[in-house]
Amino acid sequence: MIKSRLILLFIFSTLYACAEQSNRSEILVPVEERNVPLTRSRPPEAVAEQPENRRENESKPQDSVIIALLNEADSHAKEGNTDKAAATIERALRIEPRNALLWHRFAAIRLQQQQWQQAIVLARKSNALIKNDDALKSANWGVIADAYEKLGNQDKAKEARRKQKLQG
Amino acid sequence: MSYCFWLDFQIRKEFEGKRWSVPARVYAQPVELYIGRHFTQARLQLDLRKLGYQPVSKLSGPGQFLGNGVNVELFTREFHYWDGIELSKKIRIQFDNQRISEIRDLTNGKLIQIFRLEPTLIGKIFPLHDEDRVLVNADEIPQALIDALIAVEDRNYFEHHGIDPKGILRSMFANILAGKIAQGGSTLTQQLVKNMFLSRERTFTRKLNEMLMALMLEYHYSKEDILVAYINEIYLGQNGAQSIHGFGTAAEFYFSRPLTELSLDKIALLVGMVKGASYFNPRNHPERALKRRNLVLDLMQEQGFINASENKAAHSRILRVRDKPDWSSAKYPAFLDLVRRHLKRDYQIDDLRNEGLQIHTSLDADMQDSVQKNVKTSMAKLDRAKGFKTGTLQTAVVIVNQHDGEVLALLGDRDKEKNSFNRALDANRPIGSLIKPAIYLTALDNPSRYHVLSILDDSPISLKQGNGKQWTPKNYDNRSHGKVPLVRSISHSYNLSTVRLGMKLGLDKVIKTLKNLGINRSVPRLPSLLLGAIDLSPYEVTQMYQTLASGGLQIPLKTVRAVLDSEGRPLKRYDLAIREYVKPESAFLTQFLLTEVVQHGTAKRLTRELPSFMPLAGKTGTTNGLRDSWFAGFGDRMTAVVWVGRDDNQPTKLTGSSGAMQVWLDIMKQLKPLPLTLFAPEDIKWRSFPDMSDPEFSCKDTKSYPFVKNHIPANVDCF
Repeated sequence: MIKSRLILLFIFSTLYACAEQSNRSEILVPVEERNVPLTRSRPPEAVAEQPENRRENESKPQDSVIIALLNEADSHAKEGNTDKAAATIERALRIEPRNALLWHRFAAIRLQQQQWQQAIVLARKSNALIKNDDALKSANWGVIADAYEKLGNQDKAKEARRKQKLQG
Repeated sequence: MSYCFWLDFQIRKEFEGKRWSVPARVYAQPVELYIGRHFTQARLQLDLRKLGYQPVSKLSGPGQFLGNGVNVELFTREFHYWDGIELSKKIRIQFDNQRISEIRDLTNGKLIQIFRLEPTLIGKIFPLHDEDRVLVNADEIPQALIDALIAVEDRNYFEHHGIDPKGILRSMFANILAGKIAQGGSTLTQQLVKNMFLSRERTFTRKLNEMLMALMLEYHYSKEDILVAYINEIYLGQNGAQSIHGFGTAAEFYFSRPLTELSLDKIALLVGMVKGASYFNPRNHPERALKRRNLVLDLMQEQGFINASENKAAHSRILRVRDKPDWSSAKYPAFLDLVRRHLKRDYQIDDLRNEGLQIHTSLDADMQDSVQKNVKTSMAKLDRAKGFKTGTLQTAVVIVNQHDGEVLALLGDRDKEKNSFNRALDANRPIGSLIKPAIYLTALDNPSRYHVLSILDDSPISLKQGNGKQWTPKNYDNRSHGKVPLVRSISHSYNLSTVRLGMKLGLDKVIKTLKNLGINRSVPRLPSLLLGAIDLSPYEVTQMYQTLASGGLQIPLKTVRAVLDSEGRPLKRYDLAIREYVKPESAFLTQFLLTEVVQHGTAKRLTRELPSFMPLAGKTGTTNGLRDSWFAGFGDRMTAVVWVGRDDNQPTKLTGSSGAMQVWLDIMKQLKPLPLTLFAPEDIKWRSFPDMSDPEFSCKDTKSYPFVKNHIPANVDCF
């Protein structure tokens, strides 16, 4: 199960740019763009619907940095060095704390570390940051389902598995 | 004879078992350089200089950089991190429009996405005998250092067996000529013995012992071993209470760089100090030190270690000693205090003092420096404005990254170097209205009964406290506001409606919410709790607001990222651990309320003064008699809490808004926080209703408010 999850994650990291697009839908100003004046006259959701805001979704130069760190974390995790993998993800999160893919990766590492409760919290955190990415959402529900199974909570595991399939 | 055996035994036991006590080194977080990062060339050069990098015209070794206006080339130093080693490499960093646009490895031409500079040393935890030491291995000792020591201190070192009769004769002759003791005949081995094993008294027996022991040492150990021990042992200065031992330590103390990077003139300067570290101290006696350095260089030339042109070039170098060491445990005392408290949970104090552990922390040194600078000015302004003698008002500041709980900056006193009382951790003060978000969170956690436009009653109320006394709370403006929408009750910090709401919810529920937000101490179960009659430290308040700012995820605040051993091998990492006790929807609605405080309420001044960085979220707090002034606020990444008050607990004449918020504002103007992105969970829906946020414009327009799905009111009364 963990192995297949890792393969899935690898695919995710290569699809990163796409995932990022949807994560970014509510970020009003690119990270570190500190000089852009901003007032929030409408709720963020309404803003996100405006076509002119689509350009916010374009990839940023530091996307390649996040991909590099994700790859580094992947190779640590593959070697079974999950502590280093987690440290690398934390490093990436300091650059982009609202990147849903990073939180998902983090959740998967916790699963590998058999920290079931933490895996659930992190996958939920990832889900909270996703707007339009059913594949990633489904993957998070998969992590949650796995963790609940390990915790022996069959009801919650079943419910999570259902959501995983619904969005998958 | 048996005495000799005993001495021999002692020496071997000591020398072989010799493990120097090396203080733990505490580091700030490293500067991360990556493509796309907002970073200027000027800032990079400043950071490099702080780390002791030298500007050069051609890169030839680690610790050098070359800036040409367009890009910066640097030869980095190797450094061990918990998750891997940053190898030493030659790289070029290009900038475009105040961003890093490219990082290239100059050796293989490859692009680099991200790398770390070595972190700034921010403090040490010293052994009880207060010796500072940076150990060097044989392969880290520059040949020039060995040559200089031989030339000046012991020219027959590689020939003699521990004592040097020729040397003794020569020094006696020189001393007779000079009419005083000008030269000592001690070999390096004798000097080492003296430093390592013997007392400082000058007696004949001691001298005899010294000679015997030197002979024994030479018999058992190689010249190289003895030299390495000498280089790590010799006394080279004093830094307050700490004595500087060894050339590695001295290189750091006087030049802020590793021994391997010292040029000939600097090595000569340090070797000159062996004779008298305080007499030839280059900081206090630059001329004397320069003369001595040049003498060392001349002796090196005389004995063929360097040629005339090398000597001349080194002679021409001016004394370039740092005014004071770049690191000082006195620079960030409040933060180091917290680090020590965190480490105490897992480490014995002896291990911290002696084992040379490397402690990697979360301190953002640039941010801390900026905070310290700004607070100093802000506090002076506040003292003046309120007619206080300078220094009357005190403050504490805590700044954390709400997403991982890392403490980025911490100030426990308005004067950065003082920390006899760490107010950020130990000043327990009533928190006033800072408690209110916990009450509103408790209400919004029950969406079938409360939403952000629920109507609350702000009419007068009188309650019996636990001690039987009657308690009659008042609004700050001494007026009752009748019926008020929930959003305005908190944004304008109305007391009466808050107390009524809290009593309706029940004190136990509010106390439970406080626990869920991370308050671990016992909470008084009294109605006055609802207006913040609970003593908390700024640090505890920060934990509470971290949970709110992160959308309900409580992450225990931390300072230590990892601990490595003296060789850079990983020992322990402090993981990100998250607790989820608060529903994300309730946390989100509370966050929304806190943005309303800034947009329309008691913190409205922030919008005027920080227009380009809106929206932020925050809450002001003022306590009875204006004794404590609080502000807690957050942007997209940083949560910062400021307290302003007096140590004698007398009135400050300040509200939360006119005191702590002003300090907060001055800090943020420099730090330029990213605007807060309100990231609504899936189950939050926005609906338009009459605008009730601002009493002046109430009901005139419509505005979108957030609600929990399935609990959106069909209509609301407008007040």
